[in-house]
Amino acid sequence: MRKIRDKLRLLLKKRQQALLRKQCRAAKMSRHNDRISKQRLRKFRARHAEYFRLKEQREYFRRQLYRGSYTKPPATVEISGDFGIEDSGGIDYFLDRANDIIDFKNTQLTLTLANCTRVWPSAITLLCSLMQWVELSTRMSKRPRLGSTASNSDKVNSYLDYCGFYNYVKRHRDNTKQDYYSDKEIVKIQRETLSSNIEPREDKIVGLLEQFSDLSSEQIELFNCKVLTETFNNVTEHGVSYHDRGWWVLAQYHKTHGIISLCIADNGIGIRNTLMTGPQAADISKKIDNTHLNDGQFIKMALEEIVSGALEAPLKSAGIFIKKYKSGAHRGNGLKRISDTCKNLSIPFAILSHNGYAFLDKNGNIVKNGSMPNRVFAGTFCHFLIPARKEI
Amino acid sequence: MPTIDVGKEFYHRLANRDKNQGDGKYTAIDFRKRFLSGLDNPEFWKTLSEPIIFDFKNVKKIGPSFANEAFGYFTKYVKPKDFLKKIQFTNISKVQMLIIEEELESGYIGK
Repeated sequence: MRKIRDKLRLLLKKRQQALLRKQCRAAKMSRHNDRISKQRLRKFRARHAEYFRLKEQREYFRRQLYRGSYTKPPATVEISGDFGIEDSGGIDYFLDRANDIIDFKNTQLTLTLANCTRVWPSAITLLCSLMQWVELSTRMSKRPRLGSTASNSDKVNSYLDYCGFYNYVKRHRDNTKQDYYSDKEIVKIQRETLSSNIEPREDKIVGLLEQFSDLSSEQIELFNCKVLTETFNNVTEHGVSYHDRGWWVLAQYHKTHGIISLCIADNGIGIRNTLMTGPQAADISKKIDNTHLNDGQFIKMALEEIVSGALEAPLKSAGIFIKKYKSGAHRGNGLKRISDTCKNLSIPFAILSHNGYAFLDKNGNIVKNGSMPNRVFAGTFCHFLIPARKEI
Repeated sequence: MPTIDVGKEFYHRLANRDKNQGDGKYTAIDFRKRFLSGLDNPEFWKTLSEPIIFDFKNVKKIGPSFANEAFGYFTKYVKPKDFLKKIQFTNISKVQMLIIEEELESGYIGK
């Protein structure tokens, strides 16, 4: 009995020693792998020092930008009449209101919608950008209060619920009728929490175009491949993702006006800041001063020239007469492709980015371009007015 | 030379240039490394060889950024018309071919 006990004890001891040796080997291997990874990372960072320098610089800039301070007394902003850029007559009013709303500094902001007769999808997108900005730039304890009054128009109240806006801003619903609108005529706005949401959203937009737009199937394919793809690439690349993916979409068919209003937006640092924190900043600053009052000019440059704020964007090499890029793949064509395609398809196109705005008509001409003293959008917003079937 | 069914062997939505765009998956850089890595040297383009054929019958769409990074990239070695002699596309729509040709042209002239 004693012999068996001794043998068992010896066996257990040997097993424990074997286990300990195995654990020591695993720990040694793990330390070795960590050391190798760190060496590789150091070499990688050394080879791409400029890229990482720009990346850290941009991240620092973003942290500085997203700092809100709300100390002024509560304020009220009235929104009356039709609110949105879908009707060209309402653009100036929209820009004025946006200028008042986005950069507010009050502890509470109330939007009075009593006399508002219509809220277009572009206005919904603007209000979502306000929400995104407040969420990103403040902590919960210091967050200002945002609120709105109901409109005297049942249709306006109903639309704010129907399009997904109340869900987006987590507002309780009023008891409004839902009979005015059809689910087939809209791609509702929502919090985009998955990067894999892009494809289903694109499919819904294309479905809306196929059902209601005046475009042929080839034109829809061209719009899908060039405009939708490039716009989604932009917003996903530049959106800031802490609470959600940082981009959102709203598309609505308006049968009485014969248009589909398509809004795609992000909550990024804007076109000017992206260009001026990228590798091409030095070249760009020779043409335009880096001030928020030139945001409109930066948008115009992005539409007309080959410029990019991407961290991997190339620089033009000095030629004998003109500078140009080396042959091969390069960045900087995105917005130009979008505006050229919209021109080919006779689709008016607008872009708002922080203080700047540019409105292009269906012939691709810039009809309105400039900057406001305050921001008109907290991020970047692309708006397309696609011609559609008119029903009286 | 076998034909590569892009939609089945890679993905049906060719939109992302790199991991920073879209959902960061099935990017043009992945495509180039997987199917065109042997072409990333000037010697390949000087020798006569069978063309590589891409079948687009299962591809739903191709975006300009993808085309620029996957195909326009090689215009640093060769002109667009010579590229299209070595790389051929079948069952491709007019719009998709137009996008590829535009990106080859813009990549070549540096625009």
